[in-house]
Amino acid sequence: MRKFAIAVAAIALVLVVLIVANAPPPDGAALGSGGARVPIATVFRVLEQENDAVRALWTTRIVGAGKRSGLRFDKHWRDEAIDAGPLPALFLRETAESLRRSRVRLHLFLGAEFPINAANRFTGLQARYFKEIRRTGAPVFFFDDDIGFHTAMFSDRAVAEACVDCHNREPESMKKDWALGDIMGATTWAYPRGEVSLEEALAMLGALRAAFRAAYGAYLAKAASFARPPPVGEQWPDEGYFLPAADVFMAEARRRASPATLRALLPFGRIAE
Amino acid sequence: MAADRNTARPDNFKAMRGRYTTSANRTPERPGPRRPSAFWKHLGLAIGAVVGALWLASLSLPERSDWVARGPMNTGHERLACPECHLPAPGTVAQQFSANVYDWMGLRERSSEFGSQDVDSQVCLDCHRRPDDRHPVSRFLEPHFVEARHQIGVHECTACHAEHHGKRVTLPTMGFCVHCHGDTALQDDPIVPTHAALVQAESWHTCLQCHDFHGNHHRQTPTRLADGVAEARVRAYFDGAPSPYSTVKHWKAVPSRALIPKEKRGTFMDGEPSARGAPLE
Repeated sequence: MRKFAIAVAAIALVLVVLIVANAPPPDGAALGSGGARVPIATVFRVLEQENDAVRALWTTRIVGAGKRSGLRFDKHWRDEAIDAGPLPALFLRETAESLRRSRVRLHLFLGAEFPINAANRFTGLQARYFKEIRRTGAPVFFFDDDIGFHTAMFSDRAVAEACVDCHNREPESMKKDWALGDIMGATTWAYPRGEVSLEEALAMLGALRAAFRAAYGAYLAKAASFARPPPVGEQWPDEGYFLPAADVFMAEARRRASPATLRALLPFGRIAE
Repeated sequence: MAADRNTARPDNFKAMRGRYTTSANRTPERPGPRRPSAFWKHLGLAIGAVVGALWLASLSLPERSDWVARGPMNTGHERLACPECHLPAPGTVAQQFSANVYDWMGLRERSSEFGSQDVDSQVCLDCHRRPDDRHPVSRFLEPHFVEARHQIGVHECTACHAEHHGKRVTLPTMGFCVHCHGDTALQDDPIVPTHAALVQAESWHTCLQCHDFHGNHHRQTPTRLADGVAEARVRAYFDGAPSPYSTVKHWKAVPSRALIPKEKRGTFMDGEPSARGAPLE
């Protein structure tokens, strides 16, 4: 009996040592990976400011200036019979579609309480959190049990007259009294892990930028089919009936977004070897 | 007990005579059958343990995969080896063990995979990801698909393609389109009968007669239901028969993706900028 007790105690001791000596990494992190961990909320903020920068670039220097130069932008831009490019919300939609094809499990969705397209209406948990965003204007971060993803929602405001005009004029729009500055919807980001390595964060960022490039590339491909295709190169629509090449567009996007991205990620140190 | 048995069966008693020693005939030189010594006992145990370990180890051989698989592989997967989908779980075995103990003690939000990883949609997509999939599972993460997610788990490949069933599509019904397309209405509907009429008649089994769900087959979508694929052929296709849409595919699955460790998948990717690959945009 005494021998048995000693054996049990020895096994228990070995187990305790095994468990303590092999303490797993923090929850939500991938086992076996090292290096600094970046909270997913930080990554979401970086992605959101990147998205804001590119969207502002698209809205002002392509759509706004393009309209003055003779380019058209329409919700039916994919229609072969229409020589037009995507409106800002549809550019984001195009980016989200490209992101979906990526190997990175980053999910982007632009939804609203009163969207033009009913398929973009928030439901369930996201509808509940959107009410909070509309009240405070601040982003919300939560774990969506339904899809098993960590999720962030950032307010999407009517920043230009074009947003308000289009949503108020559109026959299918569910709300027609929008005003400048209103929170029209929310950009939703989702990712399966609660914290990531710096490398993983950069891969997410890389996937997003690749998705911006793909979305812009889709527009350039459509523009090439116009009855009067705009010359593509170094010049922008504010210089005339031109479009910047994808490299030029992305260089300007990087110039606008990178300083803030760098500031946000620098505290997490260098990339693990 | 022995006396009862002998009383009940006296003939046996006679037959058994001489097999027992009694105090009268017992000889001190022959004390009865010898018990095995500790050496032989330990040797037997050791041989048993070695044979058992070898047998267990043999289960991991590719040739023995059919002994441990839950069922026959689905159509097209017949030549896949177990580790191509059942990838090793991340971390050492000790780490995995510790993580699960921490979880059990409430010191961790979630348990850890032990031994091999759960086979999720990402594993499927490592081979089957396509840029033009008409119904990519990731799309179903959007909020308005919440009911479809709850009803058939539409955001997971296994909702329709549960593995180890020896089939292609394991959903029992052809009418699953109803979960998302219940309000389908087309302007200038080009088909006969119209989509609206089919929706009104709840003829959800007809969708796949014209539409190839993932759109990976070279095919012109018919404009008349009568020119579509017969329902029986679609059902046979579910069960593993060749495609009734076309035998020519746009994309072919490449199995090498499955060999990328999970912690690397979703982090580094071909054709996209990454921290270690091409320079970041």
